Amino acid sequence: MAPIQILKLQNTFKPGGKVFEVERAAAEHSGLVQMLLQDFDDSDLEAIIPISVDVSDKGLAKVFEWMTHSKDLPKTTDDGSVRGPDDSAVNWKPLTFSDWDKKFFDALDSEALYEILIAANYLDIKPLYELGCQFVANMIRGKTTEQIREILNITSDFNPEEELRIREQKALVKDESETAEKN
Amino acid sequence: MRQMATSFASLAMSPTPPPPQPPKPPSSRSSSLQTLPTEMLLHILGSVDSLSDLRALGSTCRRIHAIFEEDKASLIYGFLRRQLGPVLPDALALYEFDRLDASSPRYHEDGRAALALYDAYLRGNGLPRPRQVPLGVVLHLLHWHRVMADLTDVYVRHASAVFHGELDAATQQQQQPLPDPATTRRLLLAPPAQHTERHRILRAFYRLQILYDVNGAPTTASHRAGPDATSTTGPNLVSLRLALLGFFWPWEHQQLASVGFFMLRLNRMWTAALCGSGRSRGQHLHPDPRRDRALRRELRRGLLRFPRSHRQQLRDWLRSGRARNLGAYVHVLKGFRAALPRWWEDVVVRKTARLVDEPGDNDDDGNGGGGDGGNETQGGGENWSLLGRDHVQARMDSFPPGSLPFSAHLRFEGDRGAEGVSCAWADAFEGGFVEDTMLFEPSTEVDGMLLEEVWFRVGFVFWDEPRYAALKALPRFQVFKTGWAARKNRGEEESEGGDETRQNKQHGTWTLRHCLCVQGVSDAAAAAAAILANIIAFFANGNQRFGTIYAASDVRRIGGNNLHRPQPTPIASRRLRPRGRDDPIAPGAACRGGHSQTSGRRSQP
Repeated sequence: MAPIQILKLQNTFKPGGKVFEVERAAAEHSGLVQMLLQDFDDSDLEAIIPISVDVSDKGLAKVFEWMTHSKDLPKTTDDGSVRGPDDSAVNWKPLTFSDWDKKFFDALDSEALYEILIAANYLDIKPLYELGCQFVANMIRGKTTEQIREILNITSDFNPEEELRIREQKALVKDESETAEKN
Repeated sequence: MRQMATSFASLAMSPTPPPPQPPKPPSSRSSSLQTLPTEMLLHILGSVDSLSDLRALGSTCRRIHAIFEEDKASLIYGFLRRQLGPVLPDALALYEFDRLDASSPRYHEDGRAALALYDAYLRGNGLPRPRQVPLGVVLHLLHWHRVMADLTDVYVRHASAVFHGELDAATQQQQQPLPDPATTRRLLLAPPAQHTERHRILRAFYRLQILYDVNGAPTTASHRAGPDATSTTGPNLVSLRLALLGFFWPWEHQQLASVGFFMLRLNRMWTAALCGSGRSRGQHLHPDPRRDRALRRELRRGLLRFPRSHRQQLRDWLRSGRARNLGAYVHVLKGFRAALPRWWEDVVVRKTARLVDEPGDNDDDGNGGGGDGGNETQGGGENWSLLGRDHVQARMDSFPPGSLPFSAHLRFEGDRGAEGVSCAWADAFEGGFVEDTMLFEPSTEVDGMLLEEVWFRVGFVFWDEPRYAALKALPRFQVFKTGWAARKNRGEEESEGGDETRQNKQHGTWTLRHCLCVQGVSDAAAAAAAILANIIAFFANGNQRFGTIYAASDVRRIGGNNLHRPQPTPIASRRLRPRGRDDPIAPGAACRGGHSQTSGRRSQP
């Protein structure tokens, strides 16, 4: 029997979730799916595979869109991400966004972006998760605290005293590094 | 009331009550960053590539601020790790060497421990994970990173000025026009790539500071304790230096020498900026005023500056050409040590100690360092370069062909990282690994400047292949043809061909390649016998040999460390090109159009 090529995935977090058909090569980006493929026979996988993550069908569709587009990229293993092992600085490579990735992330609103991060984390899709986090980090490059709050839709919950203290600590790292230098 | 009535009406109209629904799980989905799980926020904070952005993001709300404060050390360390890339082992090692206290009785043990750590880091072992590094260490790393990054900026800025000047001079020249000026300009003035050229320069600055720390630089605790607290000679310090230099590849030694030259200039510039007059006074070292002030503060504190006696030593080390490729020899020695039992290393250290302590170790060429202990330092410096070479030359025959613990011939395989052999080095030496660059003959000059000095000052070994190719296309640098250093090293004229072996025999040059060629033993038994014979020979004749050949006075008399080659011209007889307006690194000179062909002065014999 030929191995199953199309997997059916349904988000059961809420009733009535849409059933997505995803190519096996694309779905293998997910560590969760890889584990399922190892643990179950193909006959079991013909049925709908339930997943349960607090993400809308729209957000999940974007995740599967990325997986389908990136199905030919090398898959990650358990002990490393796309960047290489965590403690190997020598082998560390910066993340690069392809043109398609740039367009993909640029088209997202903040809600869809966070949903993709949550889904990528749940499905254990390391490249997408790291790209998403890097994209958020890139969004705040060179911005002030106020601008970041506006961009990322963060509400300040500091009281005035805390706000003042935080402002005083703004140059914390700088001051501490200068103190260390004097010592 | 009306709503209630409607509601009651609808209830009343419904035929059956709706079935009970299970309670909905509370939805965590939101369009705000602060509602994401902690590990996700930590990952986002860890992806930020600037400290100011990190601080700004960490100040947006209570939750993110708490996460930032909790993991501040690991977040900053992660940032540094990304910035440093392959330079991280050197940055971590600098922390260890910066803590060395030469006045401590445990100095040697601490130094050996620091060396062992550095060795492990360079091999990629034991690099601390982000959560293992305390905040104090991270801040120390951060401080040095700022300084070294500033110096790298300044170096790149000056190199860019030099390239501009050379390009202008080349385009104005009518006799030898550039074949493709637009392409050359584009390649030459392209900003340095973050992960190759810039890392090479950054790493060289870190290593220079480590070297200075081992030499008792003013920034170390020992120097702060007083000038007499630091012993600049002695077996311990010499063996530390020897081992430290053995960590670097030959092309990395050249990178070290290039930034060494640059620092000598920068210190002069800084002094002129403080005490000079006219245009030089108040000259900025860094374009950013804040970073400029920080850099000046560091320079005032003695960053990358030898004490007076050591400065002379550094100048000699850089200019004389005697130690330029020392790393190759020491590296071979290290490989040799790795193949022998541990006790062998102790023998080497004991021999080193005896030699360094030998009386009469004063230089008799009138080229002393002057100042506190300059002569002794000079003698020690000679000896440790001799020892590396001697050990290699005396024992390389023990290895059968193909059994060496390193590659004998190197090829440039692309600028894939800062760790690999640089294009310029492979091109200059044709891949010869242990070429004898310690004894440069008086060389030809470019506009009154020694060929090697131009090579070091322009920093050829830092640049990627496209920029190097563009540099070589400039008329002034066309003397650096492929293999120029290897040919000069072998004493061959450019036009000469002939049998390489004959040339090497004639000039007494010893290279690893030829050592491999002349080896007759091939099987393991013969190799073992050769090693045994060599060890016996060492114990039988070693003392006598060391005593006769390497007495310090003999070292001076033979003019270096090559027993067969003709004595090189003393450095005092080489007239270096006066610095100032014709200095290729001087930004002012470059802005005025670089070097004129008439401005150079030939050296006087």
